[in-house]
Amino acid sequence: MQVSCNNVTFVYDKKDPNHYDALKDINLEISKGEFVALVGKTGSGKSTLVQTLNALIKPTSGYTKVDYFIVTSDKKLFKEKMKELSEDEVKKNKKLYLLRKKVGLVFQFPEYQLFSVTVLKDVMFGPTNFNLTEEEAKKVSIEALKSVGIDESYFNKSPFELSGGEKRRVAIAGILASDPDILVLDEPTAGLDPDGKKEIMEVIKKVHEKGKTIILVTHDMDVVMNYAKKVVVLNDSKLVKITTPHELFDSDDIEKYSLEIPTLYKFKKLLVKKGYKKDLSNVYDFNSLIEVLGK
Amino acid sequence: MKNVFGKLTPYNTVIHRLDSRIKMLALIGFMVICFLPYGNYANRFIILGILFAIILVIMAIAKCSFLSFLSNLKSLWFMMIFLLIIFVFVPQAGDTSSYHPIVTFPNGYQIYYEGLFQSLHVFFRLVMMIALTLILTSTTPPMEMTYALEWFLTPLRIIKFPTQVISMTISLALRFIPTLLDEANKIMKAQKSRGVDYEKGFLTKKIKSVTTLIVPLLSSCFSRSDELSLAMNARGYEPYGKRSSYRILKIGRNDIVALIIVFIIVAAFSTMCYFTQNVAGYDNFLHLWFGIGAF
Repeated sequence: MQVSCNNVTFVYDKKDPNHYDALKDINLEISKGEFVALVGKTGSGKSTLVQTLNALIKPTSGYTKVDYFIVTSDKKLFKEKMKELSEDEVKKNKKLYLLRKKVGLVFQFPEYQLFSVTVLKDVMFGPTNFNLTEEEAKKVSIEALKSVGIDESYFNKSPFELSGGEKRRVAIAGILASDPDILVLDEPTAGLDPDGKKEIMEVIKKVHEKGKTIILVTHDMDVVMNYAKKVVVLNDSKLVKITTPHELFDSDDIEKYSLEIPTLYKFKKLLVKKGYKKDLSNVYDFNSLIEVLGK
Repeated sequence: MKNVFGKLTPYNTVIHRLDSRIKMLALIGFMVICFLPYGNYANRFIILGILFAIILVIMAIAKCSFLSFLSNLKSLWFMMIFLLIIFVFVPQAGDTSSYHPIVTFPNGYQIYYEGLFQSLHVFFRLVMMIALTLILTSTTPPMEMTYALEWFLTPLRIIKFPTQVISMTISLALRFIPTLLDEANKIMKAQKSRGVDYEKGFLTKKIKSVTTLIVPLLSSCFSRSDELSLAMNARGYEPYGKRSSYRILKIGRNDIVALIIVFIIVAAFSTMCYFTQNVAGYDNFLHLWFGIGAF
């Protein structure tokens, strides 16, 4: 398993009298090359969970394991786990930046992280932090920028001159340039128009096709339906379901988790409700729907 | 990032319910009597001790957490060392013939007990200041403080001073402190996942990593204020128009009682100040009453 969460629990600010558990006993495994969507209503703990992958947040109890990196604030547990690792791996565990290179985390509204004078320099910032030389960094950055569809005419512009969608793509390129094995995206499509949304999702799809693991936090169920292979549902800080998009949208408890049903499945449900008799269980996209309806 | 002074505590004590104007007046009154001279050091420490006891009682009534008070004091240790060095080792000005030397160096340079007491005295005053402000900030919502400030500024309207604009500016600034802190936190996390280490590194590296925080923060600050001013315009904000207020400050019976108590305390301490400074013999009432000490 590339990523595993083991009994991960997290409490924000224990001393605060009205504190609450942001994560409760989460167990989750993700293997290499998977495309996982993390869904749940606002405040269900999705963002908190993905931050533990990157050691930005350390689980109060339990641990997250990414390859051989152990993330936990439980010192006893950490020591125990260290015993299971080889000497080299223990050494690497002390260098957080290695983990952060491995797990690329794209935050919600990543355009806010741009700070440099030019687009290219901003994208180069990540790779140089991960100890690449100037030239190497430049090379990977240009590649990353091209992969998100930003062409050379933009390289020397100030990132603050760009439009919202462009900024976001530059910011994503900033993460891609460090060549992470696992790409985690927190609502990459929020606030974008349909075209912008599609462009971003195509970039992510391409990255996935290169064999990278994708973990996508999203509210957009159409995105989940079209791209994800596996869905993890969080509700009230707990992990309630690990399933496929198809199964999730076909099941009846989807409304329980305050998730929106994609248009296709809404249509399917409506058909059944109005008395459509044929078997619709194999319908998972519009083509297959048309096929069934046409029979 | 923690608040330097305590956050508002979620209780509903007598102090919480007091009118914010009274609380501010009381704060000023108490601060003044903190800084009055009370004769020699023995007197000063006894009188300030009494004052400190009163402040502790108020803290207990307001249910201020004593722990947060102590944690505020923790940051003062550097100040304390600094004060000690300055007051003890820097030669005393003026007539030192009545001072009590601790040691006399061969070259005639003397270190006095008075220097030690002086630094303790300043430190004690600071501690009380912190306690007082802690009481105010932990029992009064920032908004109420701005209302009080606006009220105190009203006389300036006679000379066409734009008090409403000032108070609006202050309340907006206060309102956005938590928002900006949140934002800074988010940006820091985003940059951390790009490999920035805010804790380690030498000065030059640190300055560089701080720019990665400040530039995005400033830019979002400006865009936020832009949006805010548009939103205010859209809702018809007219800075010099006549405004009414949702919350009207009203003086109740408790407020008057509190005002009288504060007045009595301030009067009592001022009297003590007068006696110890101007009436012969009282500058050292310990000596007068009990025949001890001559500091």
